[in-house]
Amino acid sequence: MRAPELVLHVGFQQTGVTMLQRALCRLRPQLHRHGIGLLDGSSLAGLESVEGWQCKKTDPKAARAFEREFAELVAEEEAEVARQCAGGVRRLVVSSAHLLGRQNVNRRDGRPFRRLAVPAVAQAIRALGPPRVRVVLYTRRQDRLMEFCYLREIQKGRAHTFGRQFPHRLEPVFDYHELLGRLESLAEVEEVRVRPFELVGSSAARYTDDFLTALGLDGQLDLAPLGTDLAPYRVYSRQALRIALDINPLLESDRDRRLVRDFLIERFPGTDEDATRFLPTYERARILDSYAQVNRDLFERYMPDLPPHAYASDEATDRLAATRPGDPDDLKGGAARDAHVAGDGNSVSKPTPDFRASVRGLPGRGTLLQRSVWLTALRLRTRAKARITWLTNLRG
Amino acid sequence: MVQQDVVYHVGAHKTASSLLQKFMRDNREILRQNRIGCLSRGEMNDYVGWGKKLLTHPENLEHRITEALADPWYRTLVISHENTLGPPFKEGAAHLYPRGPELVEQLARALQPWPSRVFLYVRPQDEFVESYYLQRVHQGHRLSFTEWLDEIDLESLSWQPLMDALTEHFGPERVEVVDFGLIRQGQNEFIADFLRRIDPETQIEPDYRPVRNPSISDKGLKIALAANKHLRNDWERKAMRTFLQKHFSNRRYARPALFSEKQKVWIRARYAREYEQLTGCVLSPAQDVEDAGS
Repeated sequence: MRAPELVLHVGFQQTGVTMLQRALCRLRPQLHRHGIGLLDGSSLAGLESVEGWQCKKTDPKAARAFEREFAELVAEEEAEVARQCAGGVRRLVVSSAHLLGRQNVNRRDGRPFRRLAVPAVAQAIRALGPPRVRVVLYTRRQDRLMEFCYLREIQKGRAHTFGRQFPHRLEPVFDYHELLGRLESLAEVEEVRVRPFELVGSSAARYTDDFLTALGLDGQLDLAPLGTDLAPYRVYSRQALRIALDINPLLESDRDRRLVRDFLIERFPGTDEDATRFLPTYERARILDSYAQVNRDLFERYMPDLPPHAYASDEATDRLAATRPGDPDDLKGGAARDAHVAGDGNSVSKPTPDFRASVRGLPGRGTLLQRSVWLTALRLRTRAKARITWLTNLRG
Repeated sequence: MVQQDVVYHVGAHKTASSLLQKFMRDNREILRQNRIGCLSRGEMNDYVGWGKKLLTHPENLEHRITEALADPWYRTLVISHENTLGPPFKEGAAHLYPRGPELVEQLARALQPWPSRVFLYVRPQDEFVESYYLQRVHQGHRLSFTEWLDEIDLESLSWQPLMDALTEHFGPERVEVVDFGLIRQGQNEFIADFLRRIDPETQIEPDYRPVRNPSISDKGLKIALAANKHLRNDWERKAMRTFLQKHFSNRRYARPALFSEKQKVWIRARYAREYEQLTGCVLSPAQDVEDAGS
């Protein structure tokens, strides 16, 4: 039997992956009737040979054992689909943020970003032998991604500083564009679909609908089974975060940490806005500045229907959330506004034309030397701006 | 006409005053059947508070008592308000409840129209200080025990001056001093004893749902001290207190080590004779008593 097309939902972390997986599980019967199989990360994590999953370092023998078991799992799912759909399985969805590497977003992220992504995806391809692979990635603006990841660590009971978790926060380490370029280098990967989580993550229905579009099922499924209880990961308020940072070092057991976490979430619940607003304005501006180029390239290459500066400022990013999908005019209308410096501390300045010309259009975004020069220039410019701000404040 | 009298329970703090108040609140009908009336804790905040209202407007309390006893059915009106004598500690004070004597005098004047009795529940000073400190932490305070103790003179924890003021203004036969250690016999017996003191012929046999107010453990205390500076209002402090009492009580983790053994021994030795004279109880080596509804 011809292997089905493979759709890999690779995350990114903190982009409602679990919420989407739960939503798809609720739609599983309908997906099966449309010839679509579904496996999520928990299925893979439950395999006996999971240590051979190349989303983390592993030896070849263990990797082969995992591939065999993975293939068996897929065969079971395909058999289930075949019972529901006369035409058999035409598409298999595998959803797991671990396909980009099994680690939390933290100080170990460096260059290349998610270095195990290609081996993990290649392993899935090797195990299943699909004729075509489509990779689906939802992105989150990097400063907010870091804030969410940090908050999540604190909610697990840790008490380190934000700077300790992200010593690279002022460097464009979380470079989605470069990561996707590496994934595209795999021969079987025919398409990479990228969407900003900010555009679709406000509700489970909206998110699911967007993902179903990637499966060619837009508008074809009844979303009523999603119900109203699917919600993103609950987060602390800023007050809860301050309390947790002082309490967490006193907690010695998982029980204590769980009790405190549940209490703080219950009594001091936060909103998404709480979770992504505790960086100082100046630091956020520096981070956005450092990611300006890579994000612009990301949008221009993979999301041409959206404004290229959608991640340049809070105003531009928030506009994504306020926009209905399928209204490209509505989104693009803000592009002109986003393209210039707003001068509010969260804005970024456009790179100079000469600077851009040095990297645009080159395979892999420039040679190593050019990339190094670019990074060094960026660092020097960032430090100079920070020094000027400090001196100005001192005088004031 | 039946002679009506007033029983005024002045505390002290941390001697299960809340337990008695809640019992009376929840059993008004039973008390009424036994011809006992009571004023609520909430009302007493309006008439007495921490004592200042008693000093400035004692007539308000008098009017309220008059109003309550206007019904001739009631033989006894019971008032329980542990804040009547003011705060128990003050930096530089010579004894417990430094404002007590002044407030006792004013209370005696306010109760002068009726035969009245005063109930004072006491506990050994080391227990009292520790328990009061933990209560302060629950209310949001952030000082460690050592820091808080810096404001207290351990040589000025005598109950005697307060007792002297009570006997002076009410008469020794109308003042009852009770050892809080009675709580070890159980909450129902504690309540029953209180009711028997009000009326020796009472037929009430309390069967009250236990008011569990477990003390927090040493770990719970550290968590409270770390969290308190971030709590902004009473609701948050109460939520934190409830959470810590439920999950970090001394039933699961070690009790807070506040006074050292040496300090406890010293305090007990210093006040043992006075305590025995007041309550008839011989102070044993320090043993913990659960705070019950305090």
